[in-house]
Amino acid sequence: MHLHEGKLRAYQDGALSPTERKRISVHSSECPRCQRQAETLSQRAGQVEARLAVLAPTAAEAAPALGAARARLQTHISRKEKIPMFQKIFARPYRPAWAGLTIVLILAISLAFPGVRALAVSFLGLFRLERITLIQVEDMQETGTRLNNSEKFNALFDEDVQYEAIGEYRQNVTAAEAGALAGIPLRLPTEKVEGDPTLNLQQGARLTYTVDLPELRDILQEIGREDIQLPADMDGATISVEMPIAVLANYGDCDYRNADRNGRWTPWLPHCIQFVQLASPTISAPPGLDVAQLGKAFLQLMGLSEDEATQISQTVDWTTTLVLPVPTAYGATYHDVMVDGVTGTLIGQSQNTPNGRATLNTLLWVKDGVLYSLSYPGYFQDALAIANSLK
Amino acid sequence: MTVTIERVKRSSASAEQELAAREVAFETIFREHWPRIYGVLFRLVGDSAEAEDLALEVFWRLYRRPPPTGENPAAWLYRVATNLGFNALRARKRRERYEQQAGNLALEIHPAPNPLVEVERAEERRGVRETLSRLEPRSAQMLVLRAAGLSYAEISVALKIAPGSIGTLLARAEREFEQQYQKQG
Repeated sequence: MHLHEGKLRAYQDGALSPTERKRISVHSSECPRCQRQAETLSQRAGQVEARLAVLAPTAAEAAPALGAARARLQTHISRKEKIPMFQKIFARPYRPAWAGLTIVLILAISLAFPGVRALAVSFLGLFRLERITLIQVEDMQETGTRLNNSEKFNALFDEDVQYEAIGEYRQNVTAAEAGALAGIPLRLPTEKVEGDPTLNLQQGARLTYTVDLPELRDILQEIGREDIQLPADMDGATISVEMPIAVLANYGDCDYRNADRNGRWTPWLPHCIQFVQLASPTISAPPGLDVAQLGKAFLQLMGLSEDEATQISQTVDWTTTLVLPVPTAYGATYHDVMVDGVTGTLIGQSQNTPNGRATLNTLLWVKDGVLYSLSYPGYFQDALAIANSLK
Repeated sequence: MTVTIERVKRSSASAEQELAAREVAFETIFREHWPRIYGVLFRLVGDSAEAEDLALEVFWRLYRRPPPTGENPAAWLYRVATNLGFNALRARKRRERYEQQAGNLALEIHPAPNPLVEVERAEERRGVRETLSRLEPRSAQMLVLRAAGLSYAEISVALKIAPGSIGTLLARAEREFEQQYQKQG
């Protein structure tokens, strides 16, 4: 009967109760093998401690004094705006990409609970986007708000979701740089646009989360959606979502600081045409995940009834299709259109502008592994002409 | 780690009291844990400016949204700190790899000429951090928290591990660390 390694180690750090300490001390004195093990453990612990000790800050590198630190924290606090969770993850405060932001927000929300089916050939399956299906939903805004206010949901992002930025936000890059950094062949419109675009790069992000099913269930309960069932086999699964670097091509004045906001959420920029392109987002997950059920849960979360969710989940090919919720609250409409040689989607959003109501038309399509979005403050026919003129 | 934030039942009169109590509690936690949180982050990123930024971020998060009732705020602090710290470590690794590929070797020392001992220490630190980044996340977190001075009890609460398992996991983490460190040569 020999001593357990963990107990020996704890003993060496003085972390055992007096009774246990005595027991181990007695046994060790009589057992050469345990003595040797204790010796090994102790030496290694000392070795590792010495190595890690070089990481400690020297006097010159010590923590700032409390008073100074507290003052700096106060500055930090006043500088930070209260930005909703999703925007914070995927947006940058000075980004003029109001249309791109809408798309990215929607993607962020829908990717937060991905429907995936992994390929059986590899341990980590890969989901590669080929098409987008839009579903009109009623209450996405409310779900988004509830999630945002959910302590547990925010805790999940603070503590359990690993977040890595990909690349950096950069302004005014050349076409060559843009294509190289985004890893895609850059395409730009050749008709119905004036002048050269300003090319900006939007930082990408990789989120990794190891599913803690009780935690997710708690969140669903907190937002009043205990009715949504999550598949048991997703517990412990590591899911990662990658949004690659995006290229934003702005034509005209797209500086949202010049826009007339008037208390609206989305500023109106009548002369801004924005064209976004990025390599398809990818989702990785282990094989064997019950996709239909996960997809159904996702659709229910987006506001569909259980029956609708079941039906749609069974007809969607989750390996290649990203399901995007389109909120009707803002009067958005959507239609399938042929664009750039593939089937894409036209989203119309009616907006209040200083000159009355106007429509922001956004075209969304995937071609050859690249996701495109074109936002145009005018007739959709013109938007289509622009999209079809890409070179 | 003995401070807890009391959640007072809401009523119009006590709302202000609650706010005041929370502020006092926050200041206490800040004073008690600022140096160690900075210490954890410095060990991970090796740069005082960056460590300070990250540490401020950690306390800002606590300030604007305290952890759920019943959760020890200090434990929460260390958990968020290790998460942010390891994120930064990974980002730094990727940046260095990119810069190496682009032909510029980015060294982690200040541009001004430094005595040899500082250059050596920077190299040594980089090797240790590289090793940490190759371990299982749980193992790396445990080693860093231990190095920063947390007790078994504190680590148990911060990482949500049963206290009885710390010894085993620590021994395992140390074994892993030595194996990886030796591999670097």
